[in-house]
Amino acid sequence: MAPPPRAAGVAATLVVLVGLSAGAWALGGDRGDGGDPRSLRGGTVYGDPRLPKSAAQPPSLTEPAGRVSVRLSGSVAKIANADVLGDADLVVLKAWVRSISVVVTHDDEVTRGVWLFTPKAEQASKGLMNAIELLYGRVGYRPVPTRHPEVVALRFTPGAGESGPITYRAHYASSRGVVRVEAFGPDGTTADLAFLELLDAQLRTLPPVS
Amino acid sequence: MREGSAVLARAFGICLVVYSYLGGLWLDRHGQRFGLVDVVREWLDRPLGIGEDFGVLGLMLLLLASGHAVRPGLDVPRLVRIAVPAGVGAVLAVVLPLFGGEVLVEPLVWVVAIELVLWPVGALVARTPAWLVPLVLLLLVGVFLLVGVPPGFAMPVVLFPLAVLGLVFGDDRLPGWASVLFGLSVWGLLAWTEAVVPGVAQWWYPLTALVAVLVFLVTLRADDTVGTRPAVHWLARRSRWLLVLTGTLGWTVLGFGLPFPVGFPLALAVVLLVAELPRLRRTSEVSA
Amino acid sequence: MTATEENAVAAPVRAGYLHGLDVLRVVASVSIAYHHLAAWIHGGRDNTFPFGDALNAATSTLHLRGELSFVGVAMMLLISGLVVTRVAFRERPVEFLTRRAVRVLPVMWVALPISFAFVVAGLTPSMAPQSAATVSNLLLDTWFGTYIVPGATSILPITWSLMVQLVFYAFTALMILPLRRWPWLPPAVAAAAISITMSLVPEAAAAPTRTIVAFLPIVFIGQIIALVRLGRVRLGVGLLLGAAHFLLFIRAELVAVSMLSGDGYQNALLIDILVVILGMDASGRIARSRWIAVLAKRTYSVYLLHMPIMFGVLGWLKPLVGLPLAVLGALLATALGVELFHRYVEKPTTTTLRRLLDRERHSTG
Repeated sequence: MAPPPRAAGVAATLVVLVGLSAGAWALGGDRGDGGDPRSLRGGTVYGDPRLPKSAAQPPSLTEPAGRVSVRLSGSVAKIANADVLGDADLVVLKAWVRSISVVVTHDDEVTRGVWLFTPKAEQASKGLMNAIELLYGRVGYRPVPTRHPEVVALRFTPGAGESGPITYRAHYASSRGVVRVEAFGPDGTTADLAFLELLDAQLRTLPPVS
Repeated sequence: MREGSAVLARAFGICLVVYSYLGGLWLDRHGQRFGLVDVVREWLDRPLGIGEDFGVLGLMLLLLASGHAVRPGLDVPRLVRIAVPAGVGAVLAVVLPLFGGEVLVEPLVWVVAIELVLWPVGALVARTPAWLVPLVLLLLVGVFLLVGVPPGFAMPVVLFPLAVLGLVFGDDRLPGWASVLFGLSVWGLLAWTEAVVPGVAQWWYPLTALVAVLVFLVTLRADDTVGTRPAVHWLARRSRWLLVLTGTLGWTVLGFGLPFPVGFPLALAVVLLVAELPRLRRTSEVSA
Repeated sequence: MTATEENAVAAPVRAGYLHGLDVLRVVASVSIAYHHLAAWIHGGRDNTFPFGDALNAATSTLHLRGELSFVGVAMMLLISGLVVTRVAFRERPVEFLTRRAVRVLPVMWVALPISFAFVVAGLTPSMAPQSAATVSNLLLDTWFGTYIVPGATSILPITWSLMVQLVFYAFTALMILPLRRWPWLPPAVAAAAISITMSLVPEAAAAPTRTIVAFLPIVFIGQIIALVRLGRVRLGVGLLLGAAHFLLFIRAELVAVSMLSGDGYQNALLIDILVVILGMDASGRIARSRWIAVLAKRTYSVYLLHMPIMFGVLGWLKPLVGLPLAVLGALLATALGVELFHRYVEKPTTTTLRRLLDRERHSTG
């Protein structure tokens, strides 16, 4: 016996809607999240699969040497409130970044910091790095070579007659966002050594992506 | 106290229990994977934060329903309805392994045990202020946590407060705010359990319990409509049988070595068929 | 009659009116305001917030996001879908869309310059940097352009959720006639459209699109709750449609790299859905109380103004009087500002515009 017309109409409509959705997903390709299983996160499960949550992934940021003075994680607005970033940085970050994690430590000679900027869009790391480079170039940072070609390392030295620390900052794109490694202090050699050591440690913790 | 109460909660709960312990846990214990279970875990369990393939959610719903159905006085027919499946389950759990069968006892046995412990409470409830018995029971859980929970007793400590909460919800003498206070107390006990009993925190039981309570309260409203459907009514009536048979006959059938897509439907069919066998007609009430 | 007796006298139950939604509206707006306040306090160096720490400790057992994040927004979106769907059965499409726009936009337009004033004074860096206080951003914000135009910054960042709701209103207006004939059809079509958009539009492109489609399922779940409650769709159909939209929300989170990334969204949404279903029918003394009715009418004003006023007053007062007094001052200022805004902007604006619309409806027959 044929189904009543109304049920047939409902069924046909649902078939069309489901078909269109499935078709879009299959044909999505590199756009959206259609058709690309890599874009559905959580493919790797750590630990018991019946747990409510996969076991934690390895940490993103290495722990710098010294006494921790700042350890924060949250939105740009939350970090802005903590007065750990300058206005110029904030303008760039607010436009590009969804969340920030930071650890800053002090010892008697050097302040060290590691930051993770998670961009608003997955492909935005390069754009963010460009924006940061432009910003620091404008305010007097100059490139310094390191043995890591994927890393953009910069140094700021106060001009003659000016006071202030010698600052090293490096940025690189990782799988989780843009990482900043910094070290600054009154003595350039000490800051330089601390910076290179911290950079090596951070690159081991969260490698760069090309 | 309501007769035939919490039908939908009981039916929904036992479905989750069967899926979790006959499906998900069996796969894990035998190092197997099944695509549909993996997808459900990825899309529902982990995002919602409810682990164990919703098994503990199902157990909590059963216990909420059980507490909700406690009646004043010593309800002997209810004791029969609890004890007979329990007894059959116990016999199967002992006999089947002697013939090479595999059984799952924990945590299903705790539901039965808690129901048996809660049975005589009905006699106390009628003679005391409505708040007293639940308060004392929860305090006992607190004492247990204070002196230390013996190994292997984490599950009953987690589950028992839900049965007490069901008792609270089922007692019309208690106003709404009292139910809320008891609910907050149960939350506190579960959080305390997480903090002091090793291995519990990773399962997120307070979240599961909150969802169980909210789902239970929502399903109570639908009992007059959805709860009267034959399939729902049947599942609720047979829930205790399904519970004990899942861990005994179900696991034994799955252990025959058939591929899971064949073994699971077979095991499920056996469990459902055997659950229908003992037609206890002394009472047609669902909740007892 | 004593004050206690006066307070105890509640409004009678109005036929068809869901008093429980008033309570839920108040809960949602308080949650949203608390979330922003707590985030401000916790984000500041040397700030201590024992109440916030205790609340976070409690909600962490439920694995919700800290500072009640998302709980209030989700509830607000659910209620919006629920309430607006009930109205959709009584109004024609153009009338429906006009009334919704009139309810939301003019009041928002007045709130924007108020927020601008706080931002330009440099009092609210955690809401928007001072450099964002430009005429360009102000004008863009009037049509949500700051979420679309690259490099623009919103001076009132809570408006993103209004954008989501307006998209829902537009869709519902388009589907009003099918809604009345085949109530299941609009949410089904919406689910397909959301899914297709997620499949074809990348996260990085057309900035607000993915944000909108990520949160739209929540509003549609509210719609489905209304349809089941009104008896327009059967419970089973409602559960299937609701499940489809919930899975779309889960999908959005699974692939998200911007908003929604992280834990605690889906469990919060599930809890909110169950609480809304349970609470919407409440008709007890609290639900019918005058205070709840009064607060419920002010929730939109609270939503628009709590951030600029609270952050502005906190930023100004905290260095002068310390955190506790600054918080008290901020709450009082927000209450006062909201009350003035509601009395002299929101209520007259919406009343006047509604009268104009009613007059036009009667004149056109």
